[in-house]
Amino acid sequence: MSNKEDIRNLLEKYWNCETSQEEEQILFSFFSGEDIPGEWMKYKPLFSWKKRCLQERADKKLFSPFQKPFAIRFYPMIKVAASILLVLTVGVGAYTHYQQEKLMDRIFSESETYSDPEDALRETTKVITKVSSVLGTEKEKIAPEEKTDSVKAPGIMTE
Amino acid sequence: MNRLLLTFFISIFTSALSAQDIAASFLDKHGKDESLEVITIGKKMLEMMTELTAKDAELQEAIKGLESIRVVSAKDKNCGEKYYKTAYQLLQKNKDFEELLTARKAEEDTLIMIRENRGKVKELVLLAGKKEKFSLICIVGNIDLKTLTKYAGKLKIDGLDKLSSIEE
Repeated sequence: MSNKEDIRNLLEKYWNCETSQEEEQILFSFFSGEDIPGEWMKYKPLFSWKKRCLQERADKKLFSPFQKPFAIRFYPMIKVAASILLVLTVGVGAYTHYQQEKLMDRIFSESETYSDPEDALRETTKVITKVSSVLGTEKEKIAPEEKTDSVKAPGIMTE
Repeated sequence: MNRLLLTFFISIFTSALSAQDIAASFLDKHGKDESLEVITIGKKMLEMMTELTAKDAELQEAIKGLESIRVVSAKDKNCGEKYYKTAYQLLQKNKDFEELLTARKAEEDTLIMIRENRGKVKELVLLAGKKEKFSLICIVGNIDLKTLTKYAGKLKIDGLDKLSSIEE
């Protein structure tokens, strides 16, 4: 009897939206049983449906991590990997750019080798001397090598 | 019309490619080799030398009009032949260059090639080397071969002066 009285009170509270989760569980359990008074049989489908809904929601919460898209599940790891990749790419890119600039400099003579004109003049003199001596020698067509070698140009670069 | 435009752009492209000097073409292939020494003297430095060469009129005359001088030489004796072959092939392939002279000696072969434009020598390349030696000299600018040859004459006179002073 007291059980029936309790259920009546709980129902009253339920209609007034005053029941706690535990109290609702009591109602669900009661109405999923067989011993339901005739006057309350009309509430059985309602509480059965409610119970089913709650069960489905609980199942979803339980299994959802395995149904989430790959990207969302591993989002924190992806963020870290992307940051590392970005740093590496920038680093490698900067290094490659530097090496390429250095090579381009070498190929296209963007930078002077000497900063001191005296040093540059010394090298220029060597070059002009070398070129002139070859031109001069061939112009005169002095055949004997002894004559050519006797007027040696100052030391040239490839020793 | 489209074909004309295409031909126009291709000709600009190829002329731009050929605009780089022989030293640059050579370094395209071997630029990364650490065994090569590259010396570059640009227009600015050449202009600054005008004052320094005031006492040597022949040298000043020889340098006048030059825009750049590049010297590529091998530090590693073992690579001399390889570099010589590459440079030689580059020069032979380049239709803009014509051979001025070839000199063969025991220690090295020397080849001078020039590129002319409207009757003026714009680029002079001296390739010297043998098995263990290599040097590539590339001079760009308004080059007067007569002046350069005259400078050789001056060197000979200086040489003879030194010789006579030793004998005394």
